[in-house]
Amino acid sequence: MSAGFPHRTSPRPDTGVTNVQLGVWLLIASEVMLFAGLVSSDVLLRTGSQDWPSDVLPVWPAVSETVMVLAAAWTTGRAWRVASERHTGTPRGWVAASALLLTGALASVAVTWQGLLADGQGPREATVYAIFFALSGIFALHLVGGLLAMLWALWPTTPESSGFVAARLHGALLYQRFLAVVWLVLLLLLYVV
Amino acid sequence: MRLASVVVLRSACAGVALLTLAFPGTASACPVCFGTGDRAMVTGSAMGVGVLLVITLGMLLACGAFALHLARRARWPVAVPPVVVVAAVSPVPTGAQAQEPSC
Repeated sequence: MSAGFPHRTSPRPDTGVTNVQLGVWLLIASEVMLFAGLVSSDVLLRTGSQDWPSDVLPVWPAVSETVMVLAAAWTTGRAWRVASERHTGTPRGWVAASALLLTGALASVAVTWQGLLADGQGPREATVYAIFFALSGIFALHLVGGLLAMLWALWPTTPESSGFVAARLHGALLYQRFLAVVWLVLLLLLYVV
Repeated sequence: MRLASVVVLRSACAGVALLTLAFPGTASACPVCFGTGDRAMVTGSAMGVGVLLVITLGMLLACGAFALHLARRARWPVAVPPVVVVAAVSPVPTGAQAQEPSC
């Protein structure tokens, strides 16, 4: 089955990347354009507003989310490194840590949403809340995607498939790093500017 | 009958055009497009378009860089490791064995 599908684990000579890496890069390119539209809309509404409110979003859930998203990218890198160097053990522990951190980041988003909605600051109340709910909701969906990617990376666990696990974990690592960069941009837009 | 309908249609179009010219206020478009609208709205639109343009150009540059990368690799392909041919070699003839047999 895998013999007829080349370059699943080894780089293709002309492109220098594996199939997984090329697919993840294409996915990231399309995601960049999605977030470009969202960020552009945010800038348009924010700059076009006469009076844009500041300091209306809770900070500590955002801080914890930042730490967990960055840590998830780091643990995914460790998992990929362990999977690449087959003699150092299994990457299951690092993958579990990444999944746990991504779940924690999702919990931070949920805590922020619950706090705002409990105070009557829903997306219908003001444009700043509408933008926050839209951006954080779409980012939370991407966190769910990252969580599923980690589970997918570890799906075949037989010793013969360790090469596939390493290739998939490298794709998951690229995606996690992309998520970290996107969250830092969103953090800058929503909480700092 | 058909000629009459064409004449009526043309007369109606000409009438609308004349009325539009006679009352230019009704023909004015969105003031934002002419820069006379809300200043903050115009600035916001410009900033939003600028951000979108910058990110789109970045993506296009990344795609172009990847195309250049592919072209460069196609021009200088990856070095193929030399194929080692192991052939059965017979012992080198020496001395009298190497001489041609004489009749």
